[in-house]
Amino acid sequence: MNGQIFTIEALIAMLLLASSFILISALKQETSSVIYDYVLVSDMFEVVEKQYHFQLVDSCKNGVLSSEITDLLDFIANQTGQRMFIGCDKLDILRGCEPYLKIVRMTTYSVSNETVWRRVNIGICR
Amino acid sequence: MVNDISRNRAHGAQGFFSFDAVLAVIILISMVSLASLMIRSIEDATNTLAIKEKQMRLLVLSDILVRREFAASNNGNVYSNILDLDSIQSIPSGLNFSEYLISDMSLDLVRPNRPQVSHKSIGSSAEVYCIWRIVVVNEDSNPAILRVCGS
Repeated sequence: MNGQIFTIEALIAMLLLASSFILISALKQETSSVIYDYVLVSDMFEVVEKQYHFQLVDSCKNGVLSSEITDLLDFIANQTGQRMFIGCDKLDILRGCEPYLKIVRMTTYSVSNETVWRRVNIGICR
Repeated sequence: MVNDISRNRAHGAQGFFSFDAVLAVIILISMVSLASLMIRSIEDATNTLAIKEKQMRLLVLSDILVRREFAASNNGNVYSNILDLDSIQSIPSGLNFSEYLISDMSLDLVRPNRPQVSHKSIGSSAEVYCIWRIVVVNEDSNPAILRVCGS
């Protein structure tokens, strides 16, 4: 077989090349859908931070999600089918929610006229 | 007689149905099928890339709408993710975003307990991509969802 075109080595090389193409195309399909979910979470934090900043601060402090933010989460779930969660300090992630996309953002609150940073987990349930 | 038989055997070993020839045909068929598999993989990857590119264009377009075109502004300050309801309701019918290579586009603003504000619906095209953007409407400061679809 030496010196021929159809060697075993050439066959194995083509097999590896074909499998790499399949793997790359599978990976590309996987990444495209996550970006829209990331945008949804990012928007959610921006709206909560803009409109419900003080409710968020209280929720983190008390461990109970405010009714305004709960309504917003329900509204998003009804419209998009995506159940979202918010977690920070005493506020735990919703029961029965297995996070599949979790983004950590920082927010501020005041304690004795001092600005303190707080870590907020926000994301989508599986 | 003996010479004839040995000559035939030798001739048969080098003929069309020899071991080497059969092996070559098997390898050739395998390589042709592998080549077709590779071509199909490349086609799939190209299609996936084209879809992803369109989705990214829609993402950028929705970002421009939410953060600039329809964003509420006051004294030169533009507030991202806060929608100016008037600007959405007064969109010209010939809204054109062809520079983003999105031929057909629709906008739907969904608000809790409020009628839906829609602009141009997309026909039943097979390749329609939609993105949800969470916003606040400046009219009542309540959250809403802007659905941007394109094909």
